[in-house]
Amino acid sequence: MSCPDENDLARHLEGQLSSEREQQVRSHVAGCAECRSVLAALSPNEARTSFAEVGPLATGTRVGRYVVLGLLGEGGMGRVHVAYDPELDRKVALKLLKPERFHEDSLALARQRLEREARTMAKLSHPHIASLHDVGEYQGQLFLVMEFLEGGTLRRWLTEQPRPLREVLERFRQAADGLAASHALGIVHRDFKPDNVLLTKGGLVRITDFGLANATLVPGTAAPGPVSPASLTVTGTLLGTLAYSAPEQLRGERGDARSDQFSFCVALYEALNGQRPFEGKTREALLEQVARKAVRPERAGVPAWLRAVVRRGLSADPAERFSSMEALRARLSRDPGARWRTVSLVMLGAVLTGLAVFGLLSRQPPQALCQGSERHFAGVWDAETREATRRAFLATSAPDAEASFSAVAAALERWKLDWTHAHQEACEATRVWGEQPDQVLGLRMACLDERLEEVTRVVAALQEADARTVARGFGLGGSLASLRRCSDVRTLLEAVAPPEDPAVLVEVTAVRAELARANAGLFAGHTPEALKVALAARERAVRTRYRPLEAEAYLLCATLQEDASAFEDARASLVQAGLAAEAGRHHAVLARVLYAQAWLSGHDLGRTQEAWAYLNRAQAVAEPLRDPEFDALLNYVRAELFEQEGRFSEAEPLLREALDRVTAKGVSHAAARAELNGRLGLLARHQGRLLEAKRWQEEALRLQEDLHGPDHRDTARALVNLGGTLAHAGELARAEAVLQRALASLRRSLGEEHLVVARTLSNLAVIYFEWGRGPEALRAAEQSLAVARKSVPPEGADAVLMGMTSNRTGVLGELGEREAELEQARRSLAHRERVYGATHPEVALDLHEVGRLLRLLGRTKEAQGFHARGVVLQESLLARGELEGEGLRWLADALLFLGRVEEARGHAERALARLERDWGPVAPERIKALVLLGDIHLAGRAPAEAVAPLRTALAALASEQVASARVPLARRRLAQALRLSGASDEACQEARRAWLEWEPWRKAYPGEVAEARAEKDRCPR
Amino acid sequence: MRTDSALPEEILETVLRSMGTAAAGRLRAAPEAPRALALALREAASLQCAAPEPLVFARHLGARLSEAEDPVVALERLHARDLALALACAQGTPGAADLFEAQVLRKLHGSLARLHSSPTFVDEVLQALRGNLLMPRPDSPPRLLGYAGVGSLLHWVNISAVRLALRMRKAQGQEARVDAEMLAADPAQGGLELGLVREEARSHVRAAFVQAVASLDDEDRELLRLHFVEHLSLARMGELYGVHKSTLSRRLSGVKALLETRTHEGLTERLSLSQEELDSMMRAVHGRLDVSLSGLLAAKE
Repeated sequence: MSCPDENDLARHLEGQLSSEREQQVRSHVAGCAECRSVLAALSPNEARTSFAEVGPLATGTRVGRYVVLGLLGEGGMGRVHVAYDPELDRKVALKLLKPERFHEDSLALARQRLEREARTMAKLSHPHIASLHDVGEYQGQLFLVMEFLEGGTLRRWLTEQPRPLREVLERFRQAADGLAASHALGIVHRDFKPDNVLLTKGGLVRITDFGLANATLVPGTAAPGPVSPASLTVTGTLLGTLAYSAPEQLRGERGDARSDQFSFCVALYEALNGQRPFEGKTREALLEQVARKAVRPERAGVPAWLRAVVRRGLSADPAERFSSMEALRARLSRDPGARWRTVSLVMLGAVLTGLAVFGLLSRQPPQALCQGSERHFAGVWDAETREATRRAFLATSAPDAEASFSAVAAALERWKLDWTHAHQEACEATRVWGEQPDQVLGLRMACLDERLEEVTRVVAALQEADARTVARGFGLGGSLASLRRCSDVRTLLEAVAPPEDPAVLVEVTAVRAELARANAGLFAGHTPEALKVALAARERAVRTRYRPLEAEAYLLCATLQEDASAFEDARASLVQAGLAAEAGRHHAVLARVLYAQAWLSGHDLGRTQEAWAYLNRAQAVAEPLRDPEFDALLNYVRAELFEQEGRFSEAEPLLREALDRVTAKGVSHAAARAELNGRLGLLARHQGRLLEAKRWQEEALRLQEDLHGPDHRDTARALVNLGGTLAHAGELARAEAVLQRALASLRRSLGEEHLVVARTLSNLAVIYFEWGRGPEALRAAEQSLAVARKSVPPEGADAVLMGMTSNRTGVLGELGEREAELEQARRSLAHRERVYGATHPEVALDLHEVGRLLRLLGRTKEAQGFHARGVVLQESLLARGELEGEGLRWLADALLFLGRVEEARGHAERALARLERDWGPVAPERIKALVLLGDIHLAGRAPAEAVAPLRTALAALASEQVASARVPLARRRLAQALRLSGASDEACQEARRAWLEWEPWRKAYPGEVAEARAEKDRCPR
Repeated sequence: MRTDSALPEEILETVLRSMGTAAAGRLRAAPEAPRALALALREAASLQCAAPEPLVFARHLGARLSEAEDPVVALERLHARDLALALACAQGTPGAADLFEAQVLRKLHGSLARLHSSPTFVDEVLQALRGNLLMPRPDSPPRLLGYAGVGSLLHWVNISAVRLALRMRKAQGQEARVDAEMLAADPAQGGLELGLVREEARSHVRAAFVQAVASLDDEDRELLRLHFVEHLSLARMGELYGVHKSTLSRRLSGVKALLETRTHEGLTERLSLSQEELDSMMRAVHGRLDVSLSGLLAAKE
């Protein structure tokens, strides 16, 4: 058929073709690119995105303090841009509100209302609600600044591809969580729809535009403009909002929390069924359909309980909906698949469990399967066993026994709920919905029974609690076997075949029971006892010649050996486990073996090269298994390896994602959350973001204290990390108090000879050093080294001792023994070059440090060489924008020494700005930058300009009562600057004072001391 | 009210005579026809001095109505003023050509400019279009007479113009390159956002992107063009292709991924950067492509 002519295409667009001809035209267009383009050019505006009216803001536009980076999308409320917030150095989402969204009120009124909303929202810090950072005005338009989320909207996620029911439910459950939390504070959303639900990169839900409908025009009550036939049918974004509005909102009432329930259920219905529940495109039509309860029939795959929940939420009368969002949320949580699966943070747990071959345990008879699944927990985890477990925990009289029991109980309750629903769902799929054959039901049930058997053993082991059990209880939530595998039919059907010989089968079953016993022992912290059981079971496993079982047994042994720090044994076991798994084609075990090998070589043995190879293989083997939970474990190992290689910026997003996951899982994962906060703090510190590090570590400390009480070693560890950061930030008094508290607590719980004690002492040395309390610093440094030598095995000692030795020689150097300090600085440089690679940013800092010491020793020629190398290295980092404050400060220092004063000035100023932002006002690095700036002005013959930074430096030093060499160092320069700018009286005062202050440091700074003497001698006696 | 004024019998008869008997019969049977015809004539007369003779218009109207599936509906929805304007233009009535120029041709700039980035292209198309529509052909009247009053004249001419433009583009043999340039031109429209890429690398990235788009096959390129240059929603595109929008969404993601891979390859060939530098640049480009492309996807149904 030739292309339809203009008249026919016009008739097609106007709907004036006979149906036969219309069909012809349509099928022609579907196959003719030219006609498609012709029609595309004519498509009505609502088929397009409307960039028309104001146009998006150009990249680089400043809105308030924010710099626009690009357009993100457009919603009913206005256009959203990605922007950069230079003050906090982060990306944000900037939403410009459409002016027509407001009543005739003045902008000022609207803004007041928005700001009030923003303040209320600020109270509501919740993992499933997007944070609102700021409200402002730009060229007559209001704008909101929100956290930037990379996962797109829930609508997009839903339309991208068909999603499994459990994933859909999980997201809606999170959204319900967010809504329920906001309702608890009296905040109603009023415009809930999938476009207002954003996702993080990791798929976590964050609701946005909260209460915006309050502050702006409520869509349901909007007068539809001049009445014309066209305006009775609303299209586009307005419909987008109307379709989710509750009937009371459509009638123009304000609505309440129950209106959000209705909107939520419209969205959920749509997500489940691919269309909205009510027909109709006008307000009137929608109202009528709702009143008639004319909900369209659901798709076959939607379970009955879920249909009932959604329909109740869609009741026309608010009183007939759920009593609260919380009640609705609770009903949704009935579904078993709807949770984030556990991420275990240690190699422990979920290793053996859930891998067994199916069909070996006795099965439940099928009748009455679909009801009362809870009864399976009688005697396993019921009121009685719960109480017995609690008694056992409390009987250990460990200080955090109660807290540990709470974590254990939360984990088991949750698991019980998961199991019950998985059980019910599996049953219903066959018995009620007829979706799956009996054979699959059998497999699923057997799998669930095995999981239950494992947990029964765990509960029994918990009742033998001792102090080790209490310590380990916090991590139980992350270690319990996931049930996901039991509903993954594909995996079930592909599972490894059981042995054919019935005698072997009997033995295999018996050995598995022993392994499960050992595994439960591991969960309860009884590692050495469990290892004995596991080793015996392994012997029996090998004799069965059934390779999959052998693989499982070796893997469990390796896990226990790793837990007991018998790393070489663990390594050997893993090699055997890998071979057996390959021979038995047991891919699920093989993936876990490779994962364990990666963790062991990377984390325990420090062999990252080797670890990467294992990790990559683990990923390849795991790929067809499609297990997101296992992928999360691999990511955790990846982060660990990145950290060890100094690739901090790459490790950070992985850990943040992990944190998001465990945070979403609530109380049973609180221990993991605390640990991740602490690690993120260390990462921020490594990347020179001290103030941020402080916030992470304070949070970590708070979480640890909540979990374990004030005197626990984990709390003490958090204190040590926080103290280190405070020391670098120059908050010396607070740092000392924190570290002394940590030290006392650690000595009590771990004894004197422990690496953490050594680290604490080393951090204390840094504080005394910064304070100028030399002898105390030296004592702490030497103690630290002595403790470390005793607690680290000689083979791994180098790396661990390097930092502490440097601290000690640093203190000694300041007391005059510069040669020793120089030698150590050279060793440290060589070490870092080897471990991090020759171009790592920290290598440049080591080069400059060597240069600095050579200068102090008067060996300027040699110093030039090191500084020049450092500068070359840093210039390439600078070009890539990878130089942070401390690095810039060193670069400026070196350039000044090399005579490149002008360049030095620029870098020093930038360094100062960054350090003030990232390190805070009293940080030694900031003070060094101020003194350096003074030096640069002096060198540039602008003494008057040198005065201010030097005064600021001295004020900061005074505020923390610092008496180190840094004080006279700054003061002598101040005297010089004052003298050169004509204030000779004051100059002489400062010069004399500096001379006195040099007294304790003369030996270490001969050059400086000579200058100070000369400065003093210029003054009249 | 004037709308009730009677229609001269002569005019009605002229219209009916110009139609086939079947169509005329249907129109005669419709009670609302005389009123609709009177309205049509008044609209035609609103062209004032450029308006065609009422009887000539009546004949033309009759002929066009007889081509419709249903003359009653066609009359009811008739764009009578536009029909009169088309007739007047074809007859060379003074003043008609100016109106046509101002009310129709000048409004085609938008849709034509989306087909080609060259500023002279629109003028070339319009020049050809004037000849094509307004000049009498060897053995038949000007093509503009074929306009039947269904939908606005602007629509009708737009169809002609876009078709002509597409064929001219094709004849010039630069289709692929032109599409690529259009996609790269406007960051807000899903093209390439280079704001974050270092100055000296921008031209390379852009060139690699253009090359990558040009290397796509016609169908893939068309998808990108309709979505990101014409700004069609997935739903509307689904109607054109006769498939569900989710199918299109998947295809678009595929094309996007391919595009990114090829841009990367192009850059690798083009620049002798270290792997590290290339990666860092690609992260910037990648991020931007993603933000600008996916931002758009998110904005639509």
